[in-house]
Amino acid sequence: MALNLSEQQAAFQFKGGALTVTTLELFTADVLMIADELSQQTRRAPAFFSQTPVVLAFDKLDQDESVALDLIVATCKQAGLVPIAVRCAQDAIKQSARALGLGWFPPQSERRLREISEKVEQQVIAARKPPRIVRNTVRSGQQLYAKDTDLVVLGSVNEGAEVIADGNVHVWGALRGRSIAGAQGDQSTRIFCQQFKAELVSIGGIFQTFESYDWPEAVERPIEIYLDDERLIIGS
Amino acid sequence: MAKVVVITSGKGGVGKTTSCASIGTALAMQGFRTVLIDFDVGLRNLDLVMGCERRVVYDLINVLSGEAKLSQALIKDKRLDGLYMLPASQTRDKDALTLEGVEEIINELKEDFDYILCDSPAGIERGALLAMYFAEEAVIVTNPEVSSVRDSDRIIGLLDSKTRMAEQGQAVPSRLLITRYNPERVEQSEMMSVKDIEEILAIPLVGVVPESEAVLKASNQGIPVVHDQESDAGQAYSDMTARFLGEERDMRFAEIEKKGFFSRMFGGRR
Ligand SMILES: Nc1ncnc2c1ncn2[C@@H]1O[C@H](COP(=O)(O)OP(=O)(O)OP(=O)(O)O)[C@@H](O)[C@H]1O
Ligand SMILES: [Mg+2]
Repeated sequence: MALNLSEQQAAFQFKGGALTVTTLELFTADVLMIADELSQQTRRAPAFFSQTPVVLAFDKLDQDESVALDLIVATCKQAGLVPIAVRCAQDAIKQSARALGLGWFPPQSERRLREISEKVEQQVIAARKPPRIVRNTVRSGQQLYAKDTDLVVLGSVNEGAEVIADGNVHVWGALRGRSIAGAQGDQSTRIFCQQFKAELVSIGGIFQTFESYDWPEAVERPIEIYLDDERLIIGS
Repeated sequence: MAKVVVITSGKGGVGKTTSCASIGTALAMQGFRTVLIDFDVGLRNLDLVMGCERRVVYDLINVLSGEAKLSQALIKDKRLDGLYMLPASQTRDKDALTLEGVEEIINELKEDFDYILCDSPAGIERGALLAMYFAEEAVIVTNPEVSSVRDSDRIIGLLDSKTRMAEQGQAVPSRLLITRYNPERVEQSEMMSVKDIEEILAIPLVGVVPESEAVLKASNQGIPVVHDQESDAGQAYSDMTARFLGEERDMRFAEIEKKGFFSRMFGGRR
């Protein structure tokens, strides 16, 4: 609890670097539909949504679809998300974003996506480090991140805890909290656990929340979670 | 040299103060010089449960702010030799609670006592963090319900990171005390079982105290329930303290009583 108030010299420092940000990829501009779905999701994993920055992506919408950005942003905020930027080709949305004080990213073309995934693959191969091994139970309120590598938890991951890896996540006990594999976007990563009672899992940015009734029947057996064509498969 | 033990839970109203009073009393009965510190500044009720509220003159905050000597603030238990308590303040503000101040008090008490029990306030804020900071052992008080277990989990995580021992790279040995346990309601799946709780919290179990009317009666009279050896809760606290001291004892009160079992089995026949 010691306070280290070292003397500050510079007022700030710019730092480049890749942050993982959740993208909310909208398939509709219908605010009511968005609001409905968000409120369902928030009820399932309130902690995940609390103050989570998101980029609103409009790539999947028709070019001429009219978008009430201010309403969408307000809806997100109500759900606890914090929109920080938009990603779109449409100039109208870009302008609304400016007015609302949001940043703008250019749309991701197919080519660029391919480049990124190739780059990620290269990075993954080049940067694979020894796994991060955690020997105890990861408890509510704790968050662990294995950068550029796998995370191996020899205990359980309890409700309210979060384990994140750029590679795979292995939980030798029960997974009761949240687990995120491929945090930098690697969709070939997997999550393994001895018992699946998770609140949320995510692989390469594709996530799903769970209620107790979503858990596999026999929860007491080893489970493997992976992506098949961008769909989360929970198998054993 | 004294051992500092924190009684903590995260969630409020689960039985920390009740437990602190009874464990402290049981330790003193075994001949250990024991002092209880109430860290619940603003609420103050360990003195009520110990039945010494009338004799509170100075409190923890008075000592911390230098208005009273530690020896003036310590209240001697009227039933047992070697049992003392340091009350919290009901009125004063919590800012006077500082890490350095608490350390000084604990160091002074260490000279004179075998056990220093810290009764933590609920929550995970300053008071709770201060109560656990110097702990060398912890008793995690948990009720058989989801929210209590989750808060306990959180607290165990904090014990592993926000204590002096953690800063020195050691884990604070923590043990689980399940209170207000009702095996009948567990049977009906209205409450979590000992096994479920143990599995989630993954720390050794030191005792199970049943839900008991004796507890309420005892705290109203200001006599720690462990004095009432006729009662189930009193016996459970004796067992728990014995286990805390390293003795092995059967885990009573975790199962439905045999009598209940047989009457259910054969009850319909007569
Ligand atoms: N085993 C038990 N059976 C029945 N009642 C109990 C039991 N243990 C505690 N209680 C009751 O629960 C209430 C809360 O107990 P206590 O004050 O010990 O909890 P606490 O964790 O110290 O609360 P706080 O967080 O407010 O400090 C009291 O009314 C007490 O009498
Ligand atoms: Mg209390």
